[in-house]
Amino acid sequence: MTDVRQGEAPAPDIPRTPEERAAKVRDMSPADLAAGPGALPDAPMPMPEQVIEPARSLIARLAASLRILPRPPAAPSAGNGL
Amino acid sequence: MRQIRLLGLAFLRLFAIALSLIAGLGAFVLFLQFGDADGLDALDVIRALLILISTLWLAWGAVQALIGLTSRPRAPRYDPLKPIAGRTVILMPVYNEDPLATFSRLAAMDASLKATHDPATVHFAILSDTRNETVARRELTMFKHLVLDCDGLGRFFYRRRENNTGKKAGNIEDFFKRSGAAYDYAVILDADSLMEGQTILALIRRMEAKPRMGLIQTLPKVIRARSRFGRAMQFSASFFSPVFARGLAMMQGKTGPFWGHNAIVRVRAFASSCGLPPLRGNPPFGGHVMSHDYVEAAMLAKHNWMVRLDDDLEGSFEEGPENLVDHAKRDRRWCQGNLQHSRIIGAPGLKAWSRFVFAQGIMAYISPLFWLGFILASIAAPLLAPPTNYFPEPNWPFPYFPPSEASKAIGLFIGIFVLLLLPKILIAAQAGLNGRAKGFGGAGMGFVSTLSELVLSSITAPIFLMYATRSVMQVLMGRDGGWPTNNRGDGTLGWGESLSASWWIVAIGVVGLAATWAFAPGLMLWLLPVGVPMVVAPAILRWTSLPSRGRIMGVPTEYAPAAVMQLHDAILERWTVELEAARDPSEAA
Repeated sequence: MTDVRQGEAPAPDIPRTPEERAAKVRDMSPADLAAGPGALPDAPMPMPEQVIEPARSLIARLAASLRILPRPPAAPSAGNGL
Repeated sequence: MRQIRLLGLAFLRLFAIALSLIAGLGAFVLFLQFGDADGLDALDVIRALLILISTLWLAWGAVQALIGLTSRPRAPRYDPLKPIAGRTVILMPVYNEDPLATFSRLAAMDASLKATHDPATVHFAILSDTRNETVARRELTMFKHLVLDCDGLGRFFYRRRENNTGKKAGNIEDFFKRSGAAYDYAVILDADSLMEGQTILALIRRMEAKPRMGLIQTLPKVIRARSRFGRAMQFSASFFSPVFARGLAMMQGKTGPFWGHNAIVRVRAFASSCGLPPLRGNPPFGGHVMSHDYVEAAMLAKHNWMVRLDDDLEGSFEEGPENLVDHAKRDRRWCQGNLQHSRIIGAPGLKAWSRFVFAQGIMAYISPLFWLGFILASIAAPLLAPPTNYFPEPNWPFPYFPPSEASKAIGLFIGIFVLLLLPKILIAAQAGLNGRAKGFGGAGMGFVSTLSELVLSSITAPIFLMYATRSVMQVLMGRDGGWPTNNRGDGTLGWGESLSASWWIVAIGVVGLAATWAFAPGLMLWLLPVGVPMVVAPAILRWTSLPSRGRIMGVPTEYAPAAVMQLHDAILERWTVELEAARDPSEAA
């Protein structure tokens, strides 16, 4: 029988032998198992939200270009000589 | 060298687009000539434009197959024996699925991985979005069984979300936010996915060989189909799809596809690029992104991560719908997701090819509308056409009969059929010549299966056309579909279910044929192949859902099931017996 996975050291709270592990699992209720050693590892990773749609829809941009809709305000000028 | 490769890719893409355009424009001109025989009117031009778009779309598929026929899948350069350094997690999102079937697939994949004796770190995480409390309780019980059976303490994880915000995309995102830093790679599956251990390891090694690789998609084969419809889909996915996928792979560059499952992602790349906010406004066009996979592939490419389809990899499987109604239900969801992409296609910074892929996805769902528009316009044309003027020259005593341009219409009809049939026939011929057909019962059987699939897909095409049209109209009107539910495990549809799912198709078929008979009897013969399947739709739905056996449309996994399928069968059988034995006798009573 393989260990937790060959080459990988088991986590500190995981018994070392298959028999001990099986005994530990048998002693737990399914809910306790899922909430305890079967819960996802706590290793957060940021997942920043991306921009996935244009600020204005294609129709709105077309309408603005035809002056049917007001154009969005332009960025303020950086000033003369810049 | 890199520039030559980029130039070659650009040429191939332009060549494919140009060829499709030529076919579309050819159809457009032919139809205009046909329409001009009795004087060109607005309806002729509209019909010519509809046929242009429809033919262009058909030709695009055919060109993809032709490109695919010119090359064979090749493995990228990587060391298949190099020790794996990274940590991988296999993610299985579930949503009210049967835990016995889904969890036993994970056990089979774990057994398949163990059989490789590779020391790589591979964990499994079941990400439950299940809303049904009974199923959720079974999931917990089955999870304990899974951990015990696989000696999986510390390697198998389970979590159930309190609310399923963002559906599958939100489920995966929740995992990355909570546990992503624990892993380098994540293999994303569907509840019906199955992968060989060797395939999983090959995916990991290919990721490690290319530090800029963000995602590798495999080409999953459909397995375990039982019905006539299911087996036709299974045959098509196994026999034709690899060639179409090859064509796609040749044109993908670094902006390949993601189909949402049976793929590996680099966790860091995915987390930094694929946080998808809800779209502005309400569903169907606003709200959470439904077909998130295309968007995630586009976002990875936008951030300069490579996305690649590795169609040379075998050992990747999924299951498919067993009947037309289930297929239509799935398609309804995909239709809404793809049409939603019309909001994303203009997102800032996307690669041009990603935008093109979005356009393709949208086109796949709206193209039936162009065919339907063409048919309706053709029925209406005689009503709106001005009466033929047999005496165009004043004071000329002899009538003038406009020349018949029926040969143009027949030529167009044949051209469209060639675009539809030729790729599949060429694929069958090539499979017979290069020996690939052996896995399908030999060259002869491969050809018979191809013809059977062509007949079946021709019969079912008008029904697909109607379902697709209804889906698009429902989405455009902001409505959800009310599909009848198929409750049987084997996918067989009863007469009642078939009728309730297709009565409206029958009604439209009868009205359409009656209108053709009344207003355009000359078109009757042309429209019978569309109208008759609609009128007998309930019988087609039922007949195609019945169990199918025999060698026609046989696939390699039926003749010789893959190792992981055999493992799954054995585990599923053993677990069924064990769970039955462990069941509380009072519960059984």
